[in-house]
Amino acid sequence: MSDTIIQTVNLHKQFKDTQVLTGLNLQVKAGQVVGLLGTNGSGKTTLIKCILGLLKATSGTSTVFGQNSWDINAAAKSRLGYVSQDFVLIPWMTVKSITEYTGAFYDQWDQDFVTHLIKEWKLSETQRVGALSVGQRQKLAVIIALGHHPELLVLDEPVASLDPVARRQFLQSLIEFTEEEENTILFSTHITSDLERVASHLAFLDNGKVGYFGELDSLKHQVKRIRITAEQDLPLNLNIPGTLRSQIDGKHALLAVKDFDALTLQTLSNELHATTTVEDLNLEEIFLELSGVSTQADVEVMQ
Amino acid sequence: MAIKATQFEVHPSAGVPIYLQIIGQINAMIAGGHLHAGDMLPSVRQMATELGVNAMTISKAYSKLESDEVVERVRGKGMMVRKSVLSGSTKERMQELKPLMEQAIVHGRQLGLNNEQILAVVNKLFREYKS
Amino acid sequence: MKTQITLYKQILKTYWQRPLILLLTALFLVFYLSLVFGPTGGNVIQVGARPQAPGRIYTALSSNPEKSRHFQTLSDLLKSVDPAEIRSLSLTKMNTNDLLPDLRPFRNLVYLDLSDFELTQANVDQICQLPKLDALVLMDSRLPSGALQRFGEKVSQLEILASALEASPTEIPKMSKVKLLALHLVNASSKVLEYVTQIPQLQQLTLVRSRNYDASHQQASKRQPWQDIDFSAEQIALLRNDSTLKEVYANWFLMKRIRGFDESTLLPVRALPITYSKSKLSAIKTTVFLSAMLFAILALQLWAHFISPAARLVPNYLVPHRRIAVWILSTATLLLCLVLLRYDVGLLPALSIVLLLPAMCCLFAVIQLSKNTYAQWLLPPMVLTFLLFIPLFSETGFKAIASTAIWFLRGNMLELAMTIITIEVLLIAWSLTKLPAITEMANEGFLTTPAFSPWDRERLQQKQWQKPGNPFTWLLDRGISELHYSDRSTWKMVRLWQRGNTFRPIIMLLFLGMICFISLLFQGIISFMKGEVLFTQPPLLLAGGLTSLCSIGAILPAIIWWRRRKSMAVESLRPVNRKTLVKQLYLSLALDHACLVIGLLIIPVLLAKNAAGGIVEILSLLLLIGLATPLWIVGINATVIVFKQAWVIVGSMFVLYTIAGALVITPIIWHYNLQSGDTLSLQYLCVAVFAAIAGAICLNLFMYYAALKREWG
Repeated sequence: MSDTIIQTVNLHKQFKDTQVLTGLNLQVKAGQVVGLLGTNGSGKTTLIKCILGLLKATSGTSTVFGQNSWDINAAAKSRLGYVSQDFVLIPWMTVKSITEYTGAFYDQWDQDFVTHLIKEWKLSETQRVGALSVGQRQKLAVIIALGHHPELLVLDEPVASLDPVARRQFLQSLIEFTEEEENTILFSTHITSDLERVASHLAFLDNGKVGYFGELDSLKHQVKRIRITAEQDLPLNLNIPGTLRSQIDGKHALLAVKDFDALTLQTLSNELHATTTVEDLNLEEIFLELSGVSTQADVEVMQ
Repeated sequence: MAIKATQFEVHPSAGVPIYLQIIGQINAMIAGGHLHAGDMLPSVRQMATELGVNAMTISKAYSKLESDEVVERVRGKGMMVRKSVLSGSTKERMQELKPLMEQAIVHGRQLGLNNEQILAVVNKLFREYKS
Repeated sequence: MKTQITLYKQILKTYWQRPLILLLTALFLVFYLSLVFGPTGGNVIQVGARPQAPGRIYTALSSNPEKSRHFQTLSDLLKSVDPAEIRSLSLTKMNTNDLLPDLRPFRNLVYLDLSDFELTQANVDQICQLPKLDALVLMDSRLPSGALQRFGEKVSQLEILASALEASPTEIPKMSKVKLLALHLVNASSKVLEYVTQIPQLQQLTLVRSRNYDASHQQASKRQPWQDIDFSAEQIALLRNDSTLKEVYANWFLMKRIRGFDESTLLPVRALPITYSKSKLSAIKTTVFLSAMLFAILALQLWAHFISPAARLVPNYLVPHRRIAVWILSTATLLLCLVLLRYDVGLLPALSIVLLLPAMCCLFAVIQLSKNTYAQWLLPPMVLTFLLFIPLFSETGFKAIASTAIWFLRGNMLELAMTIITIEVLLIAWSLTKLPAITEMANEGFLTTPAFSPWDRERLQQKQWQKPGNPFTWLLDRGISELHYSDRSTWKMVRLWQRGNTFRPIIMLLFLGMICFISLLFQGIISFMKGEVLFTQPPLLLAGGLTSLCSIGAILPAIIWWRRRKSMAVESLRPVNRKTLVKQLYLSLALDHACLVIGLLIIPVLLAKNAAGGIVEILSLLLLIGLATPLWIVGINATVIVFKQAWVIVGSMFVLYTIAGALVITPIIWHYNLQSGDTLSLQYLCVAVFAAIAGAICLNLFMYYAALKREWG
């Protein structure tokens, strides 16, 4: 029975007039690698900051390691690591000194591990932080977050400025991080291919709420695209439960469904005397379908 | 003959879940004779590192294979390919194959192939998967 | 035309949409109104040329009938001080029969004030034998014969009654050494100016009406006797035609009103007033401050305009923006000049004063923007030199250059004013042509390295950090090396947080040392030129050093923690819970004020020497300056860790500084103006001290609780 690491109940956050989070419920258990997906402005960064106590929620509760997010105690803070989107590090220190400075705060700081990562990711120990490029600084921010071997790693757009090589290296280190079965990761990103590699669970943020939360694989099982070719004109209302989007044009139809059920589909195709093809969707296409955006594919169908 | 992790290929951005891709490839290897009974599968860690995917996905694939009785866990060593234990009579097993074949035939028809051409494809595959 | 107007409106909009600019403009208006409605007269300082007393003036009575503690007789004085050390002496006669005491022990006497003593020939001999005597003040109406001549051959600065002068007209042409004459026109005849002009080498003349104008009185007397003089045209002509006379100080009020007297009437001799109002001086100071604020507003806004990408992409960007800036500058300059007219300052001098600071800052800005790194090394010494001219605006500084300054301000040195204005306008125009350089600087990286985004501050900072060899960085590195996790004591944690800042106390000391060195250098040069001894006024030097230490110590923590706030988002997740975090940060901030506290604690010790109220006064001053003031400043600087937006911080700091000034500075000034040791004023002082401390504690508590609520993300 794994513990609940993060839990938010009915979380609201309001900035002046805009409600960014509107009753968000999320539960992350130990060992899960949760990816946060959402359009810009859906509240990913706000959610992460509210969970970590960097922002104060307007209403609702949020707990980390069983503690109230606003008042996380020292022991719990030493078990978590955070890499922020605008990772501002103290610019005048050298790489080595900033790791030592951060290490001085933590009981379980592993300086050898940090040095090993610095070497592996090709950072120079004597260079000033202010003189590093954006990608290098991002790597440094991740190294600093990992240095005390946290149990929970929270990342906000961690790979946005990394080139593909660096990204792969970063993902590799995340995978190594998850080898410890109790380690949990929560990260928000736009890059769906990375999520597909690493994430076990997915949370879709939509209008300040969690639109979907579950295992990535089950999501891939559930959201599918169906092409129907019938012998006669199809009725305009096909009435398949869980349809996200449907385009019906005479004898052809293209549907995106959320709760795919092979049996229902079989019955339907028998009723309509139609042949159906089921398309598997990758995460990016699932994301687009769930956000209600039409893709290139249906343009082709319409021709 | 041991199998290496590098012989697998996963496409994380394909629509098919990664664990299914791995299961499919392992099954194909067994069917194609690249994996024999008694061979060890690469460790979860090696697979994860080499393929660049979450270790949990690999272990999920392995667990499914284990529950399907394709592989079995050997303490201290890892996953070992099983001798294929056949359950049920031949007739039942043939009945299990029928829907898949039906799909293939229907698809062939859609492509406009006649029976001989479809059979040609099947024979070609048989040659590839000598067992 | 219409598009032009809308364009200009748009540009102006960008000015008032920025809260910081609005705040600065509001402050500008507040101070401007104080100039418009402020007092133009009263509260005067004496600028008339009088015999100058080097060093401290020792006063003594001939006898002390009441045995009052404040006054001492000469014999008392001689018990405590070695007469050879006394360079300025003022003797008052108490009884009519007192004779002048023996002056021979005073070997180094330079200045002598013998207000009422009747002098005998023997006294005159004695006085003339004092080897270094140069300034003499005599209020006796009868001098022995030949005394005037002998004094005139001995001293160069003389202050006497007109009747004494007129009593021996034949001796006047023989007063060969007198360069400065302060004449009290008591019982003067109409021919007094004829006599005055006969003094051969006379350069400065001060005409005072009554004899009660006490030369040794350092402060302005509150009741001004009607000091106006009144001369006819022929007498003025006498003064004008005197070949050696340069300046005449008098109260020309009556003559101006009634005779239509004008400064040009006396040219080439300068007609200067005898007093100058302090409010005029403070008006000038306020104007300079306002010009600095004006420059700040324009600089901030122009900077924001020209680093935006629109500066490169939008056609015709430069001209309208520059025009608006020039308009704003011209309008504000005009307003400031007009208001200075109220204070008897001519239009051209006013213009030169208003443009002074903007022109200097433009020069610094141009140097900063230039690509020549050697030019940039010039900058700190230039700034320091400039800062050293600030004491000129103080009272003593002004007195030193009074005649030239007043003449200039009256608008009589037109060529000088025009030259200064031309230089200033050229500097400002030059800097305005450099505006595209800002855009270029922002874009430069972009052209050579495509990955560099010009309006990405991260990239600009990166370039800055790549420049090698900032000499102070090794200091910073030393403080940060070899850090290990240690016990969680509050003290260690506070020190740890502090180490993340770029502030090291040694840098402060180095900076202070630099200031001391440069000011000592200046002092050395001045004293070498004047031939005087160094360290004429050690308390002044010390006070100057302390003031700079304290003012830096007050502002520096705010700047340091302001720069830290960006990384605090991530650092707030270090393993300390919220309460402890805020406590430790607050203590680190407070600890950064250590330099300030040290500086402030010395001040009461210095003031303790003159304390009349005994232990109570010293203690309350100590508490007020040493405890209440730093607590207030810590509370005010805590706004940096409590609030998020810049304008909120700046605004609240101004408000709090005003309150702090009212609570702390006013009691001190008030106490010193009263200058009495009685119990009532002491009680007031104690009450003020407690109020200040209580206010400071409340402020700090409030800030602490507000910091607990702050969202670090």
